[in-house]
Amino acid sequence: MGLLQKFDFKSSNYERPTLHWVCGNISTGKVCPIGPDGRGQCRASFECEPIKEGDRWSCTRSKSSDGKCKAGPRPDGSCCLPITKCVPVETVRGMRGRVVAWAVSLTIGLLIIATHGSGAVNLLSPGGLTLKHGEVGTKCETCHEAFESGLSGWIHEAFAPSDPAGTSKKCLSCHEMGAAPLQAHSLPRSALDQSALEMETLEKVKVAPVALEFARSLFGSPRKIAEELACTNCHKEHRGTQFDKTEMSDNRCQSCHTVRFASLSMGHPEFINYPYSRRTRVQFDHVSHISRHFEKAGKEKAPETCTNCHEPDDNGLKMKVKGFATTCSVCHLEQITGVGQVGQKGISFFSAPGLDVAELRAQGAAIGE
Amino acid sequence: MTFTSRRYRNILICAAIAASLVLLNWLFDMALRDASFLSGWLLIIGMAFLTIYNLRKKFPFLPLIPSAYWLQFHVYLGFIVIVLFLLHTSMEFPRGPFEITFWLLFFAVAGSGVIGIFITRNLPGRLQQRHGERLIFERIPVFRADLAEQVRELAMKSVTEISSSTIADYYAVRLNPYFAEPRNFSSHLFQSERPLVNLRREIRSIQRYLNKRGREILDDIEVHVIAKDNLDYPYALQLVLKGWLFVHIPLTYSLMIFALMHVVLVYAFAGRTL
Ligand code: HEC
Ligand code: HEC
Ligand code: HEC
Ligand code: HEC
Ligand code: HEC
Ligand code: HEC
Repeated sequence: MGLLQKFDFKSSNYERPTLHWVCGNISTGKVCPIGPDGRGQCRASFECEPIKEGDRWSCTRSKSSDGKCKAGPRPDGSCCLPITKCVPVETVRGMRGRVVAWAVSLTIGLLIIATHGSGAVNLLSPGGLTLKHGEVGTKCETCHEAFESGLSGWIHEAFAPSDPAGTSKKCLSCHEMGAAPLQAHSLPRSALDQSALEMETLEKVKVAPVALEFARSLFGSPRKIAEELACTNCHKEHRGTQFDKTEMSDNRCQSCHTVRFASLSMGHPEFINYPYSRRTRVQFDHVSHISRHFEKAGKEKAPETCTNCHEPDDNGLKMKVKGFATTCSVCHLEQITGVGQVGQKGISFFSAPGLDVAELRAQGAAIGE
Repeated sequence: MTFTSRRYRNILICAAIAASLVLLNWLFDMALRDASFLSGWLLIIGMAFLTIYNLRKKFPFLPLIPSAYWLQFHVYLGFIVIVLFLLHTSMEFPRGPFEITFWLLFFAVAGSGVIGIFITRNLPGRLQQRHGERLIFERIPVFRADLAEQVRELAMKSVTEISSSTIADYYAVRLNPYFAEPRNFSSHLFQSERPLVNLRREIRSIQRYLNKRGREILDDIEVHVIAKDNLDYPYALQLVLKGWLFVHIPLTYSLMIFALMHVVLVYAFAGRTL
């Protein structure tokens, strides 16, 4: 069987795949030179538009359409060969444009319905709340001030300037965080300043881990004690009931704490008394524990993060060390009960953090023995 | 530089950019900044560039970059955007209806893009190989109609010429439907000639009921059957070649609208007025 397509691209008329509509005769190859208009109407009239040469009309039909016709133009200057109108066909690109228009209007329509209907709450929520928040405030407005104002209000809010205090306002309506809720550990500026000053004089190591140093030079650091942080910098939401809202990586603690606690492999500064009243100091060396002892004691016993040992105090304000029972006893209980060997330097039992006599009794420890 | 070494270089650059984005994200988080802010804006910018690829002809101010380079840029940027998206979502499946739709849209667009790479790399070459002739898609139905008409005439002719209705009967049952529309779409796509082989075997199996003249007509019909198969093949391939963009492009615009909505929601709810 010979070739099916009896004309090649050169001898056929100009194909216009970028247009929305093409001549309906494209399938036969006999497309008319004018082509349809933008709305898909055939514009064909005559095969040519004769021109006047002197006092004679002359045919202008192109070579690819078989050249000048025999009969020639009519005396009034019109072409003698009217074209039968075609039904223009839509190009692939044209069809795609139409599908795009449909997709866009459908999407916008769906979103408008989703944001205006009564179901907006469920449709827009990015996920369930943590267990405790789910219990107290499933209403969106309890945390999102702008929720009631609808789509236009949200767009307006989106362009308002950034403001950690405003952002945290709703959280603070339920959570009492003291006078300086947005400062580090919610400590008032004066306390932070004073303790930082003391630390400056003590500071032995100023070197921070490379990555932290790098992060800080790139993005600055909230380590500057005065900087305020919004609650949401550390507390995420909408990650389901089982999500731990208080989880925080050690790196993030160290974003502020590198000066005093340069790294896990450099010396922890000596513990000194803070300006505010606090429990007596305990002899505890972070570096020797994290770099050596924890490894020796094994994975199951060793704490995984800073917050295994540190927690906010009862007011949720200062960072304190959790009780002996939860932090040290996994490894040191035997020493206290007299079974094991006290470390070489000796461990100062009664200054163990928050040592609770009743608790130790309950665990069967013979205190003072 | 050869084609392969250029490709390796580009993949390497692409991987390096993706790796540094992951690193940047990690450092940003460490400095107690909101890392989803960083990855989110990079994502929006990346997606905007990907979208402009479709509109580039409508923006006269864009530099006249050769189409092939644009495409390269589009593909590599596409991969970087996928990495950014995984980073931005912490590789977690979202939980709310809006975000699930958004997530699905993203992967529909990204997935159809990845499939599109294979389609545009493979099919044109296959079209060229199988069929020397470059058929214009719009004309294929006309050629098919021509073939169908010729076969119909052959079948009619057979009734009078061999005074037996064997061929005409076979035509009515099998050939008429075969010529009426494109056939065997998926086998053509996966380059299987099984349906054609089966049909030809079937045609030859009626030879023994025919006299010499009947066989001549049957041979002629078989030639037409092969020609029709040769039409179906480019039809199927061209359909896919044009069709995948009907998924990729419209969904891209839906995705961009969702992305804008997401930005508004995040700024209104997670950034400013908690
Ligand atoms: C207990 C407070 C709380 C309540 C109640 C709450 N949200 Fe949120 N929401 C948040 C916090 C915090 C964020 C920021 C989350 C983040 O950055 O991970 C947030 C973020 C969002 C976002 C931003 C989108 C995103 O992907 O991060 C949307 C949308 C949202 N909330 C919708 C809702 C809706 C709808 C409701 C009502 C069903 C609701 N929220 C109830 C605390 C809350
Ligand atoms: C409607 C009052 C209300 C609002 C508003 C609210 N919370 Fe809470 N939140 C609670 C209650 C009640 C608890 C449970 C306290 C408890 O168990 O001790 C809680 C617990 C928490 C916890 C501890 C969760 C845990 O698993 O231990 C964190 C962290 C927290 N909220 C942060 C926030 C942040 C950040 C916001 C602002 C986005 C916020 N809350 C807004 C009432 C609220
Ligand atoms: C620099 C990061 C950071 C910021 C900013 C921050 N928190 Fe926390 N918050 C933590 C960490 C870490 C914990 C968990 C400590 C622990 O493991 O017990 C916590 C614990 C809490 C708890 C639970 C306390 C408890 O007794 O278990 C509440 C409630 C809380 N934060 C509320 C807030 C509110 C409200 C704000 C905004 C005013 C805020 N936080 C800002 C890091 C932060
Ligand atoms: C926004 C910066 C910042 C972050 C983040 C931060 N801290 Fe602090 N922290 C401070 C400042 C400032 C002080 C008080 C001044 C000082 O000691 O330098 C302090 C003091 C402390 C103290 C001593 C408090 C006391 O009562 O003696 C502990 C323990 C502590 N931080 C633990 C942590 C832990 C654990 C984390 C991570 C969950 C953390 N910090 C995250 C800024 C920060
Ligand atoms: C095994 C439990 C444990 C772990 C894990 C731990 N700490 Fe401590 N940390 C302590 C104890 C105990 C003290 C109190 C020392 C004292 O009272 O003199 C302390 C004190 C501190 C102080 C206060 C120093 C001062 O002068 O008061 C800071 C800051 C601190 N830790 C930061 C960190 C950071 C950051 C991490 C995570 C990298 C961390 N800690 C991990 C037990 C721990
Ligand atoms: C994961 C187990 C583990 C935990 C938890 C732990 N320690 Fe230790 N600690 C050790 C080991 C192992 C040694 C080395 C003992 C030895 O050499 O006999 C040690 C040694 C010590 C020493 C001796 C001096 C030194 O630093 O080398 C002191 C003091 C001490 N620990 C205090 C504490 C306190 C206080 C806590 C709770 C805040 C604590 N440890 C939590 C495993 C632990």
